[in-house]
Amino acid sequence: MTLLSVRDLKVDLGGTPVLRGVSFDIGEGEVVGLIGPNGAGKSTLLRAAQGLLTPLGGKVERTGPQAASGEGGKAIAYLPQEREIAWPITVEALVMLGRLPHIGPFASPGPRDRQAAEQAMQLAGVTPLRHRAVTRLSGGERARALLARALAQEAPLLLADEPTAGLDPAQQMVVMRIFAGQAAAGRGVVVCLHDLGLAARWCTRLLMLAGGRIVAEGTPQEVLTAEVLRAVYGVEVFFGASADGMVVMPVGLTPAGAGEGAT
Amino acid sequence: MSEPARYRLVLLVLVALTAALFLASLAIGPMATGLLDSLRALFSEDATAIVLIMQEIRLPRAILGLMIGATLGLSGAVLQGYLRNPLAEPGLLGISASASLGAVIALYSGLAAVVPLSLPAFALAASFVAVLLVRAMAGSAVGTLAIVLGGVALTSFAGAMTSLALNLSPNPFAALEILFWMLGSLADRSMSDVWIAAPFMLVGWAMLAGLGRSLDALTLGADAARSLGVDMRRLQFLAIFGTAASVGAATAVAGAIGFVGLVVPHLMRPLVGSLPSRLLPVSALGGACLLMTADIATRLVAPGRDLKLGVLTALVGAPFFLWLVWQTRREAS
Repeated sequence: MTLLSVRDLKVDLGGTPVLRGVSFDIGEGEVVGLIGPNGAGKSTLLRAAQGLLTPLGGKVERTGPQAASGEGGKAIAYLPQEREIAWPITVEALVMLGRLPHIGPFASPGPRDRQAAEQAMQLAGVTPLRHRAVTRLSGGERARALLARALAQEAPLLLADEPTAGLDPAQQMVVMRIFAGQAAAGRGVVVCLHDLGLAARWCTRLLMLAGGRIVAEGTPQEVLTAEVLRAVYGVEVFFGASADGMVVMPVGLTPAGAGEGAT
Repeated sequence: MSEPARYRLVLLVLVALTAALFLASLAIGPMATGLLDSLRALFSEDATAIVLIMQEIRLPRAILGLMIGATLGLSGAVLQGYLRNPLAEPGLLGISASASLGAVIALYSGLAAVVPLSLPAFALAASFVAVLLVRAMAGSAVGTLAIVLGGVALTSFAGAMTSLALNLSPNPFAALEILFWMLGSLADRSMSDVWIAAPFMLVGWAMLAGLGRSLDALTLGADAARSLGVDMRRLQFLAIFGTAASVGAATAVAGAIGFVGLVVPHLMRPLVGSLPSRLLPVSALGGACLLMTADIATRLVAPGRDLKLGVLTALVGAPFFLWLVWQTRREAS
């Protein structure tokens, strides 16, 4: 079932066109990787898809469960790239913020909210840190605490902007496995990635964004080809196969002029 | 102790402390009276000296101390949360400086000597103009930088106009009167000051008090807060206009009292686990306690000299703030 449907989305930022007509659908059980060079419009796309930016044209439709609830928060959980937390609140309090859309005005968290927060902390592996102040966590711990906050929201759709940036390989795997688990539980996940290896290994589908347009779409095998990567990123890539799936490793820059014209 | 239990305890202790300080504020003054006699005089209909002192001098002073302290603590906590900046304080938006300017115009023109209520009325009008200007400068953007910069510009301009009034004042006594008023004080305020300021402060509190949850979400940044369903426009409107109404009214009757709005949220933050929604009520109570303590101190430290409240809060507040900065630096390293 489709959770989010984006049609011909056009967005300007400060007069500069960033998205020039983007269309795609996100369904239940998918981990969709959003890849593309810096400045391609990935973050803008994630923000516009949940109504944080006013589009110039096109439309965004939420069609899944909770879509009728109107307000955001219940329908979409968003994990921004920015990991700055203003005050030294505890990890527990941070994760409980994810329950805000579910708690009525002037009410306090109920058993259902506490259970969801517990589960989210368990999943992200931050339960032992629950009484620590978030400002005193390491980068990886903080990233996982913020992920737990988004998971506690229990929205059918999760949008994550570079959730693996700044994490060690093991932590990156932990995060991607959590996304896979969410998809297996019937949710949809859209994740911005710069690591092509992670995109190849963990995403069910990839959207390649360049110059504000989707230039390639499909399974990792279909999208991550030597021609596409040369044209979009200007890199030469080593492809391999392992027992756990496809291996994609950029190994050098394409010589000037060799890959032009394909975008 | 669990966190909600500790929060309730902190609230309870602060409420008790506020009540005790309010009574102390009623009982302490140049004319020595017993607490019971004083309280009885509050409700008496006689026209004896003690009844007049209690009803006309000490009661308005205690009420204003309580309300202005709470206003400064609450708006300081809201602004620090809204701007996500621990250095924010109620004066940042230019409201206090503009209200001061309004009062100075009333004093300078001589109108305040003829119609005493024109002073707070001018100050309120000036803070209302100030908030409209700040709001206009912020435009339709939901960012906070334009608001802060607009507030800084407005503060400088109001300060310059105040200096001009001092510069051009017809005689040294007029200048002195303006200067003394600006130092901030609760001495010799009447019930009519309470009646003009209280409604605006109450309206301001009502606008600010409900913002706790939005400010909690804002801990994660503006985008994350919006994705959690926070309406940033509504938050901005309530934070700015709530501050303007309450702080404008406070400044209108008492002059600019510094450091309370800056220091109190810092003092209280560790007690409530830094969560903005819990900080708001605690900061309001803490501000009331601090201001009433300072006001009582002005009566005890130098009874005959009319030590100004604003001077005392700055004198104690500034070194204390340095100590806070020192603590933060030590924790960070």
